[in-house]
Amino acid sequence: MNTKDVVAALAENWGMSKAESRRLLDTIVQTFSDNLAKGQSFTIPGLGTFSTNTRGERKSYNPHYKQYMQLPPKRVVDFKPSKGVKEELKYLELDNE
Amino acid sequence: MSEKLTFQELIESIAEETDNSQQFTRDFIKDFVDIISDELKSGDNINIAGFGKFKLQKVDEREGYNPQTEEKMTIPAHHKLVFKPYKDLREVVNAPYAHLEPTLIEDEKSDAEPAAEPEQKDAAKSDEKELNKKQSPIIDELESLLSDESNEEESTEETFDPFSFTSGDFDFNEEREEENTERDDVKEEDIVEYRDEPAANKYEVDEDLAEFMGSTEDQPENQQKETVTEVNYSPTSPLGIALNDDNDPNETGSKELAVTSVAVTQQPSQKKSSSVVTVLVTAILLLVIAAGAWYFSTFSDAGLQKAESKRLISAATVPTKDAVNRQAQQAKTDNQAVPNQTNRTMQNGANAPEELVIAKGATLWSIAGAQLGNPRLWPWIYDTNESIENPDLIFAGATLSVPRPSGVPSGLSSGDSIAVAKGYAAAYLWYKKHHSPKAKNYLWAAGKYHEKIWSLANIQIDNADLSATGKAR
Repeated sequence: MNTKDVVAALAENWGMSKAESRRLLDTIVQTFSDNLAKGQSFTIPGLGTFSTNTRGERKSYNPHYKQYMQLPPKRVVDFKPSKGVKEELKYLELDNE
Repeated sequence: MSEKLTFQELIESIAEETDNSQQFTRDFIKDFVDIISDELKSGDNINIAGFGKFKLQKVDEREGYNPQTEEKMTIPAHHKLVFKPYKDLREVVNAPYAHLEPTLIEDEKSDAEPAAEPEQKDAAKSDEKELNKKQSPIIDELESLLSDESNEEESTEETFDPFSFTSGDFDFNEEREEENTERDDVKEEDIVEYRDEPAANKYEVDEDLAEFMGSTEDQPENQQKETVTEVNYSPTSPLGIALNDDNDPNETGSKELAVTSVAVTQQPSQKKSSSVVTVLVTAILLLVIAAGAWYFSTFSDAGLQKAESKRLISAATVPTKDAVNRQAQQAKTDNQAVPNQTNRTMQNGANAPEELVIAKGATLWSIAGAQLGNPRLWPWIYDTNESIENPDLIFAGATLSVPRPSGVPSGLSSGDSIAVAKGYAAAYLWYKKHHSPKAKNYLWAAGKYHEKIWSLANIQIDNADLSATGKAR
């Protein structure tokens, strides 16, 4: 399911045009990423917590060139699912895969 | 440190931005979350453009243990919900560190012993410090330094065996051998710029060096060369050399080379005075530096980056080489080296806009096609030149500054893409101002080049146009 489908589903649920629901969704997602960009974490009830982590600089080895590289620090997004959704999904249709 | 934002605050800011009630925003997000979790339950992934992907990941059964009871237990296979941020999000989140790039740890290339690591790290750090220093090696200083060095080396010559180097894995040695003849030319050119030595001396030195190269094993030589250049420039006093020799096992390689060169050159000229020896040694080392500079500036195109020593050497030799190197590095990150571009940037400086006189009959479209390789990038030129007011009207004979893409022609870098999007936004504004019905097409195109252009560019956009572009997309 991609953004288009989500937009369509939301538009149907709320009786609005797809353009309208897309704009709403875009704003929501933009707000999420703006806050993450500022390093602020937040929790979406029923989904999980988004936060950022800073990984320290580290050394890596490229086996092809036989070189060591010093990699700079990096800030990454961290997502921890809420307990509810985590448990719900945990033992879901294991046989299907 | 990440501050925590409450859901309420989040709702408030979204509600304010969308002019909806908080209750509605809350319900809307709840619905969004429900859609996500329903979809996940049916086993599908959710991709949210510009944000990320929620997906279920299968975790295999594994052995674990309870740390409290210290009992072994089996963790059954299960699913876990993972969120994989897309590039847009990764980039904005990593923005504070985006300017940093990985650096090569030169000394550890062939030496994989973990015990030696901390020392080498220190060496790398000291190299960085030296980089910060101004590098203006005066020949006299160098000579006096070298005479000290050679005296020192003569006394310890027996303890070093120049041929005892374990041959590391250098895949590129064959290439280098082929380039040997070429390199000699370069060396001479470079030397001429820096030395006022009589020409005869230089050629003598060259012969000696050639002999030396022939007699030494090729493989360790490469490594030695690199370190030698570092040693020459890093310490500006003999004290620095002594320190390096004591502390850094890798630097001893360089010393060994110096020893070899001294030994080789001394054989034909044993009876000459010691000052001649000094001059010869200096000349050889300068040749080696020049060769290193040439080698790095060409070789980096082929794939290996030697960021530090490269910068070190190029800073010391020809100023323009620095620009070439940097450009080459950039090209490397884009996985395509474009020689033409490298040359052009060398002349113009990195990414400087190019001045261009508009020919008769030319259009922004045709100029963009000719200069940027894609006529659709014309708004970029339009936006770069504030003198153009009407995008449909340019005058022959006027001067244009044409921006230069920072990436490869086949794809735009994200920065360039934003610039193009801004160009389209500017075109949109102009057409909008003049009530042209095609204005919204430009807004749509701007969105193509950067999805969130309307939030980035500080422009007023008609909501009707925005929804039209939304439909178009």
